[in-house]
Amino acid sequence: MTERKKLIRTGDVVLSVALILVAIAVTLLTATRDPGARAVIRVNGSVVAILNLDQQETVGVEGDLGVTVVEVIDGGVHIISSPCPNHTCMKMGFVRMKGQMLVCVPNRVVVVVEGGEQEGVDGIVG
Amino acid sequence: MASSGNRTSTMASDLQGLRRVSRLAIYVAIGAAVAGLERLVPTPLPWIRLGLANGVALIALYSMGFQAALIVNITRALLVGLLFGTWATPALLLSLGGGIAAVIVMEIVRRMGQSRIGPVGVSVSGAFAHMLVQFILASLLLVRHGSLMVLAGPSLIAAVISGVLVGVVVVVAVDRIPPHLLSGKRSLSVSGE
Repeated sequence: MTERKKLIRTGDVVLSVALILVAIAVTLLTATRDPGARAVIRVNGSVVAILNLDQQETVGVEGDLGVTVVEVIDGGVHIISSPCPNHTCMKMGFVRMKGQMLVCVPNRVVVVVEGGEQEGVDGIVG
Repeated sequence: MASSGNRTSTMASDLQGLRRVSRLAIYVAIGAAVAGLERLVPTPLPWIRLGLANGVALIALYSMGFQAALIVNITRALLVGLLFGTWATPALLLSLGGGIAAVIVMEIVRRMGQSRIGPVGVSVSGAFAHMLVQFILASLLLVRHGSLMVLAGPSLIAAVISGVLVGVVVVVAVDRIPPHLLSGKRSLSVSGE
């Protein structure tokens, strides 16, 4: 009879701590605190609308299931109505920081908050 | 014409095969049932779940081996897809990919960890792999945009926590299941041997 095996062994603790450190590192590396400038709305991966976060605006975009209504108000963006069954996208609430997003998987609508800089150009050297 | 000795050994292996299939079916059924129950529990993001279904794969891995666990996870993902209306959608691919990755990583960790890493560590690595692969697949198939990765970090933290919980729950539960119901070469039991 060998000695009684422990419920949680040293290796379990080392592995769990290592993985949680990796996850925290990923969180810190991807987190942004810059307010966004624009909300880019994509349906099935292609851009259908770009909203300026400075203005108040409401648009409806046609997805696979129907129309998703996106509203920009007070520098943030949220989805106010959606034809999807779970309304997960509506429950995601407001997003206003660069890199944050709203996703409606069933209707294939993705709203991404982007910064003020122009996409695709890192800089122009004269 | 087979000799009588041959026939008995064929019958014995038939019986073993039957037991194996029955146990696999039970694991798939339990996995699908807990996956269905977990859908009723609200979480901050829809893909963050406790992952008890992965705990069933963990039991299958320890009691019946790698191949069995892989069969359990694949069949369970397909069954859940049929039951809950995600059949032939990207969501099914995500859960298939996550489930397969989890079993592969759990087997690697179980083998490499030997006696230093127990079921809890194996469960954590499986949960982590499941979440990571789901994010990779989602960004390849659904969003095609790096910004989904903003949610990856917090989701991976949640995966590690749920992996620990599921691992502990499974070990504690298996200790209370009569041994003959889990008869296998490799047991998960912490009080056994």
